[in-house]
Amino acid sequence: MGRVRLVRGNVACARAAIAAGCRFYAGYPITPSSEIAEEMAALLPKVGGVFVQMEDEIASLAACIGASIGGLLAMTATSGPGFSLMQEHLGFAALAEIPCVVVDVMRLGPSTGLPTAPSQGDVYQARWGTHGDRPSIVLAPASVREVYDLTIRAFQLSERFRTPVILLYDEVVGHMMEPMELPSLEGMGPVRRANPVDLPKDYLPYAADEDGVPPLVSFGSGVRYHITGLIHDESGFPTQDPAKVSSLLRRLHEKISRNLHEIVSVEPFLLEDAEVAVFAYGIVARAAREAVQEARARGMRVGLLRSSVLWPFPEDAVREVARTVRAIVVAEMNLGQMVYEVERAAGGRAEVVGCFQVDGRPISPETILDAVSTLCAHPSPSGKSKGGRLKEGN
Amino acid sequence: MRMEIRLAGAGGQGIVLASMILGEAALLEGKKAACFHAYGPESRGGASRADVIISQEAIEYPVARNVDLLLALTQEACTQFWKDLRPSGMLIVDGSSVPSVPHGESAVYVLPIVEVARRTLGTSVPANVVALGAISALTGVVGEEALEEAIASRIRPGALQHNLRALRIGFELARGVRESTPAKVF
Amino acid sequence: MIPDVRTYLRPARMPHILCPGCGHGIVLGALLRAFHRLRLNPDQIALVAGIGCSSRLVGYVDVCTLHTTHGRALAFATGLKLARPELTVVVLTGDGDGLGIGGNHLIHAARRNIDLTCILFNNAVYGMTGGQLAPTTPQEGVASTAPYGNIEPPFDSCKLMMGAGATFVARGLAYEPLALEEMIARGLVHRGFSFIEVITDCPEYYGRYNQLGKGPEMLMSQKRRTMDIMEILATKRFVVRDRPEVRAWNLPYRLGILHEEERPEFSQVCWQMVAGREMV
Repeated sequence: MGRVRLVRGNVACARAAIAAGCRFYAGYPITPSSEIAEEMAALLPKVGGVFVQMEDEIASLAACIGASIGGLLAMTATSGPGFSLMQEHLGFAALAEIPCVVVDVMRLGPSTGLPTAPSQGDVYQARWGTHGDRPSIVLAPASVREVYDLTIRAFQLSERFRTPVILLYDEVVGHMMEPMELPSLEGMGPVRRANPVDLPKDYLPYAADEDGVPPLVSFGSGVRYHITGLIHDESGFPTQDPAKVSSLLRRLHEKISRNLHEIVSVEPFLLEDAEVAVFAYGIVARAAREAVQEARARGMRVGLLRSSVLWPFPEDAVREVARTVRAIVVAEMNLGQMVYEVERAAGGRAEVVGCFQVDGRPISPETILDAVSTLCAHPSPSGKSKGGRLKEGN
Repeated sequence: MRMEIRLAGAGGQGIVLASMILGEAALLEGKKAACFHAYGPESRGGASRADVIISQEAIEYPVARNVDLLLALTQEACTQFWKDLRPSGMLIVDGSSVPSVPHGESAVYVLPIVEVARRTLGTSVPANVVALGAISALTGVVGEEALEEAIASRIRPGALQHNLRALRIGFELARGVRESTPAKVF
Repeated sequence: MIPDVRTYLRPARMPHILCPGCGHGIVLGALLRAFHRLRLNPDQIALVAGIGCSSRLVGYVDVCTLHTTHGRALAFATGLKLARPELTVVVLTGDGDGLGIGGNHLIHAARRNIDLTCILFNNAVYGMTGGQLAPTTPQEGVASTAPYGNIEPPFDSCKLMMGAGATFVARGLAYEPLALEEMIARGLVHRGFSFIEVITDCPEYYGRYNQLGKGPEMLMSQKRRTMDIMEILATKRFVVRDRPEVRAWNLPYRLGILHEEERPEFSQVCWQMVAGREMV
C-alpha cells in the first residue's frame, strides 16, 4: 500500500527484483546503472538477502552464478563496458543453464564513450556478445512501470528456461522518473529456489523433460553433481561425442525457439490501415508513439510496432506488418542494429529505412516524424521496394 | 496541455530534489508528471539540470524539447539552457547569481532567490524550495498546498518547517513581482 | 560415516586426464585424505575450479563440483559461499589460473577473508595449453612462449597473499604428501581465507623444456632446492643463482604454514549484517 510517487527507472528495477524473489546481488559500480546497486545494497539486508560489491564485472556475474547454484535468485547490473566484461560468463550461464538476470543500462560507446548519455548500441552485444551459439532472451522496457514489470518477467523467464536473461534499457529509461506505486516491502523475507522433489536414484542433472528444460538442484541440498562450462552430456560430465555435443547445443536453442509464444511480446499501435510503420523499442518507442500521433493528426497513415522483447526477435510480427505497409522506419539510438533484423524479416515485402541518431541525445518525436513524412510524401513508384535495401533517412 | 520546466543550477543546489517535489505536487493535483535528470561527470559543482514535464494527458515522450519555463540559479546554467527555452517561454533567474540576463521574447523574472533565503532563513540551502514557491506563484502550474504536501513527503521531518517557510517566502517573493509585471498564463 | 577416502572419488570418471609423472594427483590425494580425516559430509562440500590441469581434478571428486571459467573460480565460489555459508567451499586453481588471469579475484578473496580454502597448484607453467610462460615461471626458465628463457621475475604467491590479507597462508610440496595433508586439513578448519600453494611438477612441458628429468626427478629436485633454501636462509646468503643445476628451478621459497591469524570472516559478517536489518 504505497502511494503514487515519482520513481526512477533504476530504482523500479531494484524494487522489482526484490519483489521477484531476488536475494543476491553482486555488482561493480558503473554509470548509468549504479542506482540499482545502491538500492539493492540498501534493500537486500532488509529482506534476508545478500549484497556484495565485487572487484569487477567479471567477478560480479561469476558471484551471481555461484549464488544461483546455491539456490538464491541473483542479479547484477552494469553498463556497456562492464557488459563487455560479462560476456564470457553469460556464455557460461547459458551453457551450464544457471538462471540469473543481467541488467545493461546502455550508454553511448564504444569504449568509455559518453558515460552519461543514452544509447541503444548494445543490442547485438546482448544477442551475440559471448562466443559460441546460444539463445538469448533480451527484454527492453520503455517506461518506469515497464522496467518494474519486465524485471519481474526477466526472473520468471530465467527460472522457467534456466538461462541468463538480459534486461536492456538506455540511460534515459534508467534515470527518468515516472509515477508509479511501489508495493511495500513488508512481509518480504528470505527466499530460496525450491528444489525438485522425488528425484530418481539415477538422477541425471542435465536430462531435460519434454520442453527442453532440466530441473535445477541447488548445491548443498543433498545431491552431488558436476557443473561445467565444457560441453557435457546428460550426466553433466564433459563429452566429445558428436551426437551428444550437437544434442546439447540444439536443446539449448530449442528450449527457447519452441517456446517463443511464452517470450516474444510486441505492441502494435494504429497499424490497421497504416501505409508506413515505425519499428522502435525502449525510449525511442515513446518518441515514435508521439510522432505517429502527430503524423495521424496531419493525415498520414502511420503506425508503430513496439517490441518489448528484442531477442528472440519478433520475426512473425514484423513479417505480418511488412505484408501490409509500404515501408518500415526503424528508429534506433545507434547506427543501425535492429534494422537488419527488421529487413531480414520483412524479406523485401516493404522498404526498410533506418532513422538513426548517435549524438548522445535521445531521438526526438520530430526526427521520427520527419523520417515518416518523407516516406509518406514520396511513395516508391512500384509501391514496394523489392530489394528492401537499407538506407538511412535523415 | 504539456508544460516543460527546466530547473538548472550548480550541483549541490538541490535541483534534482526540487524537480521531484514539483513533479509529485503535480501528481497530487491529479496531473501527469515525469522527471528527467541529465547527469554530468561532476558530483558537486558543475552544471546540474532537471526537467519536469507536467501534463493533463498521458506523457508519451518524457524528455523536454521546447522548454516553457527555465529556472536558472547560476549564470552558466542560464547561458547554457537559454537556447532551449521556447520564444514565448518564461525565464526565472536568481538575481545575485545571474548578472547577465539574456534578452528575447521570453518573460524574464529576476528574483533575489538565494539572497532572500540567506537573509530570512540564514542559509542558501533551501533556495531550491524558495524557487519552487516562486514558480508556483508565477505560473500556477501547481498549487501551494500540493507543494507543501510533496515537500512533507520528500524532506526529513527535522527540516520540514524550515522548508515550508522557504516555500512561503518564495511564494511571496514572486507574488510581489507578479503584481507589477504582466504574468504569463499557462 | 565415511569408511574410506575413496568414498570421495567418482570411479566412473576414471581414467583421469593427467600425464604420467604429474604431481597433481598427489595433491588431490592429500585433499581427499584431509576431507576424510575431518569426516566432512560430501553433500556439504563444494569443490570449485577454473581452467587448467589442476582445475580438471574437480570432475573426479564426488562432492558438489563446479568447473568454471579461466581464473574466476574464486568469484564463483564467493557467490556460492555467500548463498550457502554452511558449505565447505574449496577452490582448486593453478598458477596461471590463480595468479595470471585470476590474480584480481585472488587478492580480493584474501582481502575479504571469505571462508574458502584455495589450493594453488604451482607447476611453473601453463600445462593444459602446451607449456607457455606462467607468472610463476622462474627467471631463465624456458617455456614455449619464452624460448630464450624467461626474462620476467616470478610471483611469490604466499607473500602476495599475506599482503592481501589472507588469514592462513601455507606452502607445501607435492613431494611431501603427508605434510601437505596436514596443511590442507588445517586450512579447511581455519575460519577465513586459507591459501595453500603447492609446488608440483609438469614433466611433460616444463620438465622437458628445461631438461629437469621426469616426474620423480623433478619432485626430488624441488625438494632439494627448498632444502637448499633452508640452508641458504641459515647462512643468510639469499641469492640462489648461477649454479647450473639450479637453473630454471631457482625458487627462493619458504615452506610450511607461513602465516595464521584470526580476523572476522566475510560470509559470517555478511549474514550477521543481514540478520540485524531484516524486517520480519
